[in-house]
Amino acid sequence: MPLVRLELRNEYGLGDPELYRGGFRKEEPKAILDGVAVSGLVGILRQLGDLAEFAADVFHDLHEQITATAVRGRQMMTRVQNIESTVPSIEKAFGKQTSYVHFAYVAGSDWHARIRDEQSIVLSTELPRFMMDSYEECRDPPRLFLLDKFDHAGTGACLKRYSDPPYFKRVWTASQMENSENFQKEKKVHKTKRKGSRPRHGEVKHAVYISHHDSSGIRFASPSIDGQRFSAVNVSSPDMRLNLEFLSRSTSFASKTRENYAEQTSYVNPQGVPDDLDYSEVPNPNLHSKDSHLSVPVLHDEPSADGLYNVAQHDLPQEQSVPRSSSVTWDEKLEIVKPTSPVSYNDILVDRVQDLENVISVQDSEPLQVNFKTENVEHAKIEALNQEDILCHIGKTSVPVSGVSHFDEVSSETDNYVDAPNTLDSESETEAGCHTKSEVQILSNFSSQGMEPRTEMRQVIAVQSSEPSDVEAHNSSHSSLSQDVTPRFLHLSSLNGSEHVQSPYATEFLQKQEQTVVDDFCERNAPNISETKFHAYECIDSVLSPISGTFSSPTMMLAETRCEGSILKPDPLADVSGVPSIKLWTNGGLFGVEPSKPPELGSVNTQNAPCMQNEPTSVDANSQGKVAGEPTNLDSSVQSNSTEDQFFARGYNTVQKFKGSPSCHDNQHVYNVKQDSNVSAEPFLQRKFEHNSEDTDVSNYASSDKLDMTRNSASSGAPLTDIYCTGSRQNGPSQSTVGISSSFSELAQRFLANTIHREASLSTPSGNINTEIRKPKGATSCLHDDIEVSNEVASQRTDEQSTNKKVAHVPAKEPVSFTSYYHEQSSPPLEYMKISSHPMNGLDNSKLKLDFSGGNLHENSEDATFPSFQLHHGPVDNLPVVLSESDDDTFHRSCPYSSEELLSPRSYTSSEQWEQEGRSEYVDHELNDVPYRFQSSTTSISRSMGFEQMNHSSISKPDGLEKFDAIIDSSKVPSQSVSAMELPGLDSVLSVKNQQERKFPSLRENPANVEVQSTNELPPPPPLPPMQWRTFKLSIKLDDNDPNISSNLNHLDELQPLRCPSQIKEQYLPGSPFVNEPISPHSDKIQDQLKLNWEKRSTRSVSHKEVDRREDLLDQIRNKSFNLRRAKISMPRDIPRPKTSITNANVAAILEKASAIRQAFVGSDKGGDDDNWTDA
Amino acid sequence: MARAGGMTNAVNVGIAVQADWENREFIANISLNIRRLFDFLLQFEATTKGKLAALNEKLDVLEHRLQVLEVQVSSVTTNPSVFN
Repeated sequence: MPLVRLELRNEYGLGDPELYRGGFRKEEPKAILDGVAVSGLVGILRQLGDLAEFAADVFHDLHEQITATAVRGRQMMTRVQNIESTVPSIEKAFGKQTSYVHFAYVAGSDWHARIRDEQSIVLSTELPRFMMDSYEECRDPPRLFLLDKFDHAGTGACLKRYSDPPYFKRVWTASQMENSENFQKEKKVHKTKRKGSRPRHGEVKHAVYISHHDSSGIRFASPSIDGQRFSAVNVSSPDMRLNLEFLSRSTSFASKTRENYAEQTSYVNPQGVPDDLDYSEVPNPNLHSKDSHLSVPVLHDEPSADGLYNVAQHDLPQEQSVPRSSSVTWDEKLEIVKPTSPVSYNDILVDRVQDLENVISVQDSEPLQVNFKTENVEHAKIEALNQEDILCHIGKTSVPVSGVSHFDEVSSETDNYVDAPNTLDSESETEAGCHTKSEVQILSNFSSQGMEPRTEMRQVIAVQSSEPSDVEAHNSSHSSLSQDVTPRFLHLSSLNGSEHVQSPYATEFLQKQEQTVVDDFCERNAPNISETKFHAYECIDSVLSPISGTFSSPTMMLAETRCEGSILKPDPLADVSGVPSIKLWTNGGLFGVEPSKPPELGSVNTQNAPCMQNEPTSVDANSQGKVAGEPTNLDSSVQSNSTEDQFFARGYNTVQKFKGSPSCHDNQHVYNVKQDSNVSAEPFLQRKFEHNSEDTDVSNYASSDKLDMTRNSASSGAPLTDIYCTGSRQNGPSQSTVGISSSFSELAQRFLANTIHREASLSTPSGNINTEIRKPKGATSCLHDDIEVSNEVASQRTDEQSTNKKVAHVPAKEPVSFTSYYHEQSSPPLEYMKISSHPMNGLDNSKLKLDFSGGNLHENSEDATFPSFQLHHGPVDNLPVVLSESDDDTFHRSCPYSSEELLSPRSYTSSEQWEQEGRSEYVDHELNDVPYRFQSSTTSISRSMGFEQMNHSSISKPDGLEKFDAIIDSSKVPSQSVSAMELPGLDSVLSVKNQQERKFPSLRENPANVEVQSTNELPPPPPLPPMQWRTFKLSIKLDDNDPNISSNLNHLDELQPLRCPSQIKEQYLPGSPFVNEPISPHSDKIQDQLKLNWEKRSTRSVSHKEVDRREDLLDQIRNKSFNLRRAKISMPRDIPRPKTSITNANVAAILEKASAIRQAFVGSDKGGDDDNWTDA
Repeated sequence: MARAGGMTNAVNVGIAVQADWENREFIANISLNIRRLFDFLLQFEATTKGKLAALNEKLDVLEHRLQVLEVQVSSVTTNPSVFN
């Protein structure tokens, strides 16, 4: 409602209103006009007064505001002048200063601007005047307070009952309270849901633990130089993370990678958040605070450089001592963290300890110390890691170790891995955002890494093992540095959440690596390492992307190799003889070889940008490329390490961005990272153990590598954990499936879980499509194998996936099929109806067709609900038959009637009756089409009967008087029958007239009375009669006015042919008035009367002489056989025809009518319309 | 009006009506112009108040800056040891 600032009243309204109320009518008109003019002028004056007032208000307000602003300006001027006065002295003092360095150490002022409290912006006192006027003008509430003494509620209760302004405030507060309560309840519900979903995570974890335990055992058995491999893995994981776009752009590694990462992170957010409410709840500050609180004291207790080691040792006993129940509690607390960290960390912890010891012993303590200092600075992250380790250890201890064979698990996992890429592909196809795919691919890479060492990666390992010293040196240095860098990155990521900040750290890390390598291991391949690291450094500086690091210098693969990756793949396959090995290889290619991924992805991108499915092939190609670029393996590894760190930071950033809860995510990430490190380390160790004959220093290397891996893996695992967390949280069933398919590598399980989750969530087409897509891309046996495996896996997928797919597909298909079915059914009916109706109408006119079309449409609408519309056909079919002969003109006359009748049962009955009548009507139809229209207008039997009766009456009475009487009767009793009301004109009139004849025979006996009635009571019948009937009515009037009957007879003769069929029909109608008269006794009478009427009619028609209508009336009334007369009269309608034919027709008609009367009498008992007649 | 007022009773009603229409037209023109004045006043008020609001906003910004400057100057003047 707009507020009225000012109401400018009409100038005449401002004058004397009495002028316009007729108060001055007695005055002279001229004086009145002058008065009106003067009042108008007065109104104008008042308008001017209003204008002046309004202008005064406006300018007053403006004046006030301008004065206020002027005051402010003056105050400002004074303040500026004050500052101007003081500034020169300060400038002088400042200019006198020789050194300005000490200004940097000046504390400054603690002043803070006092932001005005924006409360009470709207005050009642600030209301504009035009609004205040309304308040001022309003009246006070009634003095109800006088009744307070009678009210027990207290003072003001009565007035409150009348008006309670604070009521709205109270209601608002109550509603707010309810909302807050509801919100709290929802929170609780969400928490409970999360708890409910937790068991699934536990299952997944269980499976993962089992697999991990096996892998861990193998890992222990095999000391490894995992550092290199692990670094490569880490590098690959971020690479996999990269989007297709990123890969396509991989030629330019510089800033695009960052952008891609940023994009990935940005993409991740929308997906993860909506998918899992539980996940969104995860960032609960309480959980985070708990975790951080627990972790922080440990770090604080051991802030020294050996803090991590001590923490690890400290954690071990805790883990061992902690029972399973404790793990459950941790699960409850961490909820999401646990599922993401299925790895058993006992081994990791042990490895860490060993690695730390080795590193400390082998390497100089300085870099490590520095690193640990940095760690202390950023201890929170490390603490989180430690806590996570503890948790993981607990989980592992609680979970029984499964003695499943490693290879069997590997095979099963390979299938799962194959599924994973398929799912990734499907996801890539479905989802526009590729970050999820990349994440899944990363997971797959990790899992595949575990698979790779057995197969073709051995070659790479062997090549790497040829230079163990370098590797060791690098690993050692990298381990220490990686520890430093990773926490930094974590810290930076947590603080800034931007990759740019990380870049300097990465460079520093590389430099440190170089230094450490050079210092510690100058004996060995120091130059090579330094060079490699330098390359890595450059790569990192330039790109800060693992892809760039891997491809830039060491591997020599670059973008060229990317396209070649697919070609390189078959070679490793050829190397691997066993089919399962092929599977492994495929899996490993899919997931394991990380550095190769970027080129593959690039190639894939070039081939199919939207599809990330080429990753496995690309991975294989990369691994081969590494093999080919043997001399640069170390470099690649080093670079991969560095890149891993960077990726870790990035992944961490992404995780933060993704989840929006940095604290919880940090913990989860660290935890996941540890898991990843274990997983990744295991395959590497296995590889080394199998292939490295030169590993005398393997133990040391392994230890150092483990450290690196733990740290690097933490960095690399961040994204994975993110993905995994999302997947596990999102898909409970997927987790269960993962638990079922427990494999040796946790990453594989994670990947499976993710993949399953992806599939379930996306419910995209299964791997078949993916395989198809891959085939054209990969064009290699490896790819085909992968595809096959993926297909198998797709078939072997758990019920959850199938159910999900079903759910996804069924609803989609069912509605479609249903609609299609419906469409099929519905559409044919329409056509069918048309077809059927048209043949039925074929006999009829186009009018009938039209009528049918209407009916068809209506039926079609009904068919929409009932596919079996054929039920409607019956009536439709019947109708055309009836209509073809009788109802042609009904449509003419009143389309709505006809259309309605067709569908209504009434029409049916009428049609039946018409059929009954049809036998006799056929002859008449041919002759009389015009009168048929009138009959056709009758929609019901009653109408037809009335109409017939009318005809009979009119015919039976040779004079127009009868009709006149009928009209009079109709006017008297316009609504005796529904049919009369419905039918326009003649039907009602005549039917009523017949009734009246029965009711008032005396009137008939006395035509004079009838005439009087006609004169007095001649209001037209309610329905508009047709023109013919109007003319007829006129004739009747003429009859009334002028006793000359000849004119009436002429009119009647003109009208009779129109009525003829109706008369004939009426004879057959069951509802005929014969009901009142028993047939048997009156049959003779009827016939006699018919003859009489016919004779009269014939004589009248032939000679056109006057007939004593009164006598006829009397006769009719006496005999009560007007029906018969009507029947007879029907024949005279044919009078215009030759007499011979008329006589024959009359004879035939009489005979038929006699039989019809019998039928009608029999049917009259049934017809409901007879009641009207009997009543009449 | 003047013409209508000057007319005597002998004038027929038609002339009176004609005069009345002229008077009404005159009054309507005046009323229309008054309405235009109202519109002008409203627009003037709106524009002036809008400009005043903008000016006040600028003054607010300037006041904030001045406040900062004053604080800085005061911090310097009240802490002369900085320059020593």
